[in-house]
Amino acid sequence: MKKKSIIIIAVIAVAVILIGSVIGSYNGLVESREGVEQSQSEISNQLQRRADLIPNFVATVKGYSDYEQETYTAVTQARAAVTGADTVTEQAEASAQLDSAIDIWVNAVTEAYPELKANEQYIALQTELSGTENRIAQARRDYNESAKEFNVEIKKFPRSIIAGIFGFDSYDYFEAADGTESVPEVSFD
Amino acid sequence: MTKVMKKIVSILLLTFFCLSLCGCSNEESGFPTATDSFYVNDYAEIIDSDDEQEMLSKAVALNNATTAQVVVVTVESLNGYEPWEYALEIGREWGVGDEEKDNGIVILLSTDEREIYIAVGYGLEGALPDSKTGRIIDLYGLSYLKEDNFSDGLLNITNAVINEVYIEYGLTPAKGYTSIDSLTDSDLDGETVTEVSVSWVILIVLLILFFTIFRHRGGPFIGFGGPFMGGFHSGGFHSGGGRGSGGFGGFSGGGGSFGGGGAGRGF
Repeated sequence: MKKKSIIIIAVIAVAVILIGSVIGSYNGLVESREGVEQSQSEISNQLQRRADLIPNFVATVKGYSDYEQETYTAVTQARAAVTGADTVTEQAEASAQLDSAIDIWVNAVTEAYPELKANEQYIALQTELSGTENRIAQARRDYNESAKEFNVEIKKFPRSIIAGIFGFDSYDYFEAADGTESVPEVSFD
Repeated sequence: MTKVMKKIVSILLLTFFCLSLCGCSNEESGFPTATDSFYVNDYAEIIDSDDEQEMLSKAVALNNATTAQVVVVTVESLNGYEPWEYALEIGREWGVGDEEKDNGIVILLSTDEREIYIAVGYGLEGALPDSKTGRIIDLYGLSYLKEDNFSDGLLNITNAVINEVYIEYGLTPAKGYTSIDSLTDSDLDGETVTEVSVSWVILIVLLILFFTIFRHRGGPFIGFGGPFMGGFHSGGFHSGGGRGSGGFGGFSGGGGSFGGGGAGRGF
């Protein structure tokens, strides 16, 4: 009789500990997943910020003849690709394209109109653009950091079991796309 | 014998515990630690002691009035980092600015690379957007820095930054200071600039953008805390918050965080 009740108490105790740790692990995973998603949205935020700066840039240089319409077309295309990107990898590729498209266009504009470099508004926008680049780089780094922590966490025992049961998937890393160094094709006809 | 053993074990455990607590990220990353005065860290030894005192007292006064922290750092070399990365990492590691308000600013100058960069914490990106920060450097500092007059250049820039923060908090800036928004290049160096009108449309669009960014941004990312974790938080440069008070009467960071805002110039 006494033995039985001890066993029952022990079983209950083990069950409580087990359930408690399952809940704890689950909540911990949810929390860190939120962290990853938050840093992911920060990247999109900054990409959007940059995309929004481009029309301002155009407005500034519009007074200067045709503001290099040919090279600008590549910018608008790359911009659209960034907005349309669904996955982290797609976004990385598209924004790498946009990076170099902007570079080419800005270079073309300043080469054609060197006086722009002294234009206060131009300097301001140039500073904003490079600030946005920095923010994007940092947001990616933060995302990778939190994604790595999360990915390691869901692979560790015993959380791996809980992650498996509740379907926590690992996140892709935001790696510099292959196209980062390559220059997008720009046609001049 | 066993007593000695116990002592050794406990000392070892204690050291391990302390090491894990203070996160040796400083040694790993190669960024300097803050000096005791915290607000002015002249590692390149280029700031006159008078100027240093002035910057320090103004930064302390600003901190008392607004909780914002403006930190000046000079180094000889950036060790291969980009200026913005270096300034941002210092801001995060030192926890410059209030933890809730993220209102820290790091003014970094390196003598080898001849770069200056002002990193602006999340909470002040609205008051000091990148373009304005860049203009502060252009108007107040560059001419001095180009002539190797680092001390005056930094003092002028720091003054301007501090005054802009005062204005942001609705306080009166130092006597004689006019907000950079109402200044033109010709006011400062008499250079004739053909186009000086700042488009209000652009300013408003930028402001809206900044506010949307604030809305989407939550607090700094926090580590895991489940029952199997034993309470060891990750040691990476993520953990912006929770720095203890500096002790020994020195100043210290409040735990503010940075996201890449700011502007820099070569000189």
